[in-house]
Parts: sequence; structure tokens; C-alpha cells
Amino acid sequence: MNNGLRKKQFLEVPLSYSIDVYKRKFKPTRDIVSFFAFVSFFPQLVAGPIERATNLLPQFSAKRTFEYNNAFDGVKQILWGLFKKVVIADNCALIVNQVFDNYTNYSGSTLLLGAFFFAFQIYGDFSGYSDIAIGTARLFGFELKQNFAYPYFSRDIAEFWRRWHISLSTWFRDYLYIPLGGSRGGSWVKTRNTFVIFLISGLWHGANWTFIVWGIFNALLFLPLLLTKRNRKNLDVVATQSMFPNFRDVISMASTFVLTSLGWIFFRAESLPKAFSYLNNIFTRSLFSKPYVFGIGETQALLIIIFISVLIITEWFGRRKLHALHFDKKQNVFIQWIVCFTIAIIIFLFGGKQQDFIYFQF
Amino acid sequence: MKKFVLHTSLFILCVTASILTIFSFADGSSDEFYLKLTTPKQENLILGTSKAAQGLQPKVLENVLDKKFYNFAFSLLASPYGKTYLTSIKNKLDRSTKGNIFILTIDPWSICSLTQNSNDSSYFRENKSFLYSVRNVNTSPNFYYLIHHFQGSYYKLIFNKSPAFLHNDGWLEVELVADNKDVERRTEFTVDDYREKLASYRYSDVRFEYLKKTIDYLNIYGKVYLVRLPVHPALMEVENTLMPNFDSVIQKAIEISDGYIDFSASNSEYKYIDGVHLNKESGEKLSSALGYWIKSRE
Repeated sequence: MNNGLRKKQFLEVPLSYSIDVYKRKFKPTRDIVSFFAFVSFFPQLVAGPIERATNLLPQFSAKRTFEYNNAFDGVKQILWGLFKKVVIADNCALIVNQVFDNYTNYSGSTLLLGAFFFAFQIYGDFSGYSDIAIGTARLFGFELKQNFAYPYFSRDIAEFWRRWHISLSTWFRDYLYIPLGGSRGGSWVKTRNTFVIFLISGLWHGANWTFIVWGIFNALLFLPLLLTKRNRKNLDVVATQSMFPNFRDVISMASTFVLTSLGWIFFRAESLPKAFSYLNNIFTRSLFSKPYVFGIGETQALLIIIFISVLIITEWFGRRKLHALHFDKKQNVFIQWIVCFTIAIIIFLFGGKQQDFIYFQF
Repeated sequence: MKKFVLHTSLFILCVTASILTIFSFADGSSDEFYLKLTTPKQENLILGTSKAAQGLQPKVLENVLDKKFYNFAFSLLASPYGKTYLTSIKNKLDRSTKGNIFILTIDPWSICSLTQNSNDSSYFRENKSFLYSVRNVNTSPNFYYLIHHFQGSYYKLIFNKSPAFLHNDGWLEVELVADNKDVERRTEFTVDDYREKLASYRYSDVRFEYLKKTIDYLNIYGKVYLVRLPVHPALMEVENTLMPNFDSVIQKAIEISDGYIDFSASNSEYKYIDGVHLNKESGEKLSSALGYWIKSRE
């Protein structure tokens, strides 16, 4: 376990509790066992989600009864989290590490592909861990808040930030952005607050210029939406009334994904000059050449693409639910166990070489 | 609760059974080492690094010497001479037999170390390899190896298209495109790679002592022959740079063995897939020559 991370966890959780108590949003607990159980609750201890006292603390003193459906749902969410981490993130890491470590040797198309793969790696890693944590908590009868709400189906960057690492985004929103004045006030205040929150968000990930520029990049994408009051345009789930998105939604989602992926280059690069050089090398004539990654066979590359497709399709059909495998209660239990079995075998067969959670670094 | 425990137990049972079934697919095409750790204890051994693993063919030796041989050579990273390899050899050897034949291949790399202090065995490269931690080298299936050391994803146990195939006698057959240009490209790449290695490899007294200990140990169970395998002339130059005094250094090992043959004088008579490893035909030719040389000394 990363000590730095545990320190952060031990900072954010009690801090939010103290602020909520101070602002009289929450009555202080006199139950010391519940308090420390809340602060050190093991599923969220290593790497979040950052749970609030208002949601989690009362659950320690409430009577919990075992429910088959809840526990089974926990198992499904753990398995889906493992799929995202072991199959998606760890396999994408093979390509990403190769491309980012030797970016000067690759064509623009390979570099762009490397950035897209990193987008899936970091999503599989972060949200995979969250799913495992939330699922584990559910097995014990605890309900943690959803932390990733299918962010790559976002139609603009504001929606993306409402769906990505929700517990951290809302923590910054409630304890930093709103106390600073939020989006009330004039354009100057809005601009200042947006930059402050994205800069702090970048710094939260590490004291490196790459994270700061990543924060600024996102602030620059977010700001036009805020200033033109279009930041809350896409509050609902995409294609709420239909099975498939319309053309406009597809374009919006694709462009948001591309912009986010370009931002992730700063997040992944070892230094700022390398990040800019990587970006620079993308936009060359070789952007239209056939991508190739040294040491990755065609079968392996095809498998990774197939699994990313499985991830996208499963999450698309589960986008209105708390997690992608959150089946309707009417669904046959036997079939659900078969699905779980299939996923477990896929994880075993196709799991990539073990990589540490990226999340553990923060 | 009962229903949940029952269902999850069944689920775990099914997953475990499936994993065991998948493990049962492990064979010579799974990876370059697995099968060597699953066969019973052996009598006549071929030892060394990947040069020996690919170059010396037990069946050819058997035809000449009328003894069953087992190729227990691994790789430069896993089986240079040292405590780790000696321990594995002890575990693989059938100690109830005597009058065996042991072929030990030697070259500068197998008695050199990558550590700052070349005699600091606590940091030897093989300490991080599977050979260090896999104690049981005679069990089938070898779950410990499959769980802890199998490289890559397990789907390779079922669908593997690797050009390497490990035979039951431990010989690693590698089928690569034999096109001259490809061989030249691979040779150039490999020789460059070994040239880069020069900066980090240093002769190790400890390794040499372990080579002698290995010979001493095997002398109890039969005759020990030392062999220097041929390599591409360009690589020979690299080896000579690494240890210009190799021939004089190994004299003490030769003295306690039953004989030494140096094939490096005829480097250009053999063909290689990459400058280091003999191709199948040359491996067969060399194994046969080695077999007749041993026969002449028996």
C-alpha cells in the first residue's frame, strides 16, 4: 500500500466530516468505534472512493440485514471491476508503456492510439478499483456512492467531470469551489474559481508540472461551457429514451473522448517537454499511416481491441444503472451466475501482466 | 445467507475446476521452461544456458551413446553457474543411479555476473528468476510455476502460436524464418545486444567456484564433460572482449572434469538463427559430433 495515499485518505475523510460538523450539516457522532470504522473503512481505505460521513457514518450504527440480491450484486460489481483492471487496464498498459517510453520511434497514428489506450487504461484502473471497493462494501451490507458514471459517454467536458471520479470532484466542489463562490458572481470570479479547482485537482495527483498543465488543459476546455452557461446542458444520461445515440450525440461523445485523451497525455508523460513532444509528434503526416507497436502481435492487439469493445458495449447497455452488471431483479439468477462465471474465466485467461494500480500513486 | 453461501461455493468450485482444466493444457508449446519442471528425476543431463537448451538435441546423443539424455539447460538469466542452478540440478538428478554422463556447456557469459561487485551472490540475476523459487522441479502439473512464473496471459496455454516448442526430453526446438536476410538482421540485432551487455557483465570468481562445485557434485554420479558451443564469429569477438583469458581461467574446471571440447574453432561451420543459437540442422550436426567425441573417451 502506498503510504502517501493512505495519508490522503486519512486527511480527506475526517476533513469533510469536520467541515460538515462545523457547518452544522451533520451532527457529531459520539460513537468512537463507528467514527474510526468510518475513517478506516477498508474497501475505500487504499484508494477511495472518498466517502462522506453523511452517507457512510450512519450505516455503521444502523442494523444491517443480509440480502441475497445485494450481496450478489456486490459479487458482480467486484468481478466487473476486476475485468476492467486485469483485462482492460493491464493489457492496455503493455501498449501504453511501450509507446510512451519510446514515443520518438513511433508514427503519429501509433502515438494517438497510445493516448486512446491510456484513456482506457486509466479508466479501467480507476473505475475498476472503485467497483471492487463498492462491491466489497456491498457484500458487507454497506452502500457506497457511485464513483464513475460511464464518463466516456459524456457529450461535453462538463458532463465528463460530473461522471469521472465523482467522490473527488464533488469533494472539491463542496469544500473548495462553492466556498470560493462557485459559479456565482461575474466572469472573473467564475474563471478564477474554475482555474483554482482544476489546478488543485491536478496538484492532488502529484507535485509535477505535468499534472498542473493537465489541470489547466481541462480548465480551458471547461471554461467556455461555464461562461456561455452550457455547462449543465447534458445532465441526463445520453440517449435516455432510446437504445442507441443519435448522430449528434456520437459526434459529441467522440470529440469529448478525443479531447480528454489528449489531456491524458500530460497526465501520463514523465515530464512536460516529453508531453509536448509527444503531442507534437502526433500531428505529423505519419498520423495517417498504419499504426504499429513493437513487441505486440496482431493477435494480442486484436484481443485488446475486442475487450475494449466488450467494455464499451456492456457499459453502454448498463449506462442507466449503478454499474454495468447491475441486472434487473427479474433476470434469471442462473443466467446471471453464468455471466459471472464467463467473466471470471475471461479474467483468468486474458488478464494482462500484473501492474500496480495507477490509483495507488495518488 | 445459506443460499448465497451455496451459490458462491458452487461458483468458486466451477471456476477452480475450469482453471485446473486450463492448466492441464500446459505443454511444450506453453513456454520455454515449463515442461522441464514437470518431468521426473533424470540420469544423464545437458546443462547450461539457452545456447545448450536449443543447440544440444538429446535424441541425437541417445542414438550415438545409447543413453537417454535430458536437456536441463534454461537461459542466461535463469541458469548461469551459481547456487540456484546447482540446487535445481540436485533436485532434478536421480541420485539413485551412477555411471551417468553430464554435459556442461561453458562460455564467458555463464561465469560472469551483472552485479556491481561480481562476487556479491545476494544480487545475482537468477535470484529473481523462476529457478530460484521453484523448488520442486519434478512435479506435473507444476502449479507453483504456472501461478507465479508463467509469463503473459493464460490463454497462451490453449492457443499458442510460439515458434518455440519444448520437447519431452527438454530440447527447445525453435522454428524461425530461415530466410538469409532475416537471419542476418537477427544476428546483427543480437550481436549489438551482446555488445551492450559487455558494459555490465564481469567475470565472477563465485560463479566459477560454483561451476567447479557443480562438476565435483556430478562427478559422484558419472562422467562430466565440458563443452564450449560454437557461436557466430561476430559474437565470438564479443566473448573474447569480455574474457580474453577464458581458456586459461577454465583450466581448473577442465582438470576436475573428464574432458573438454571447444567447438568455437569451427564457428563458421555451423549456422545460427540469431548468431547465438544454432539452427536445428546445425544443432543436430553438433550433437552428433559431441556424441562421437564422448564415445571416443568412454
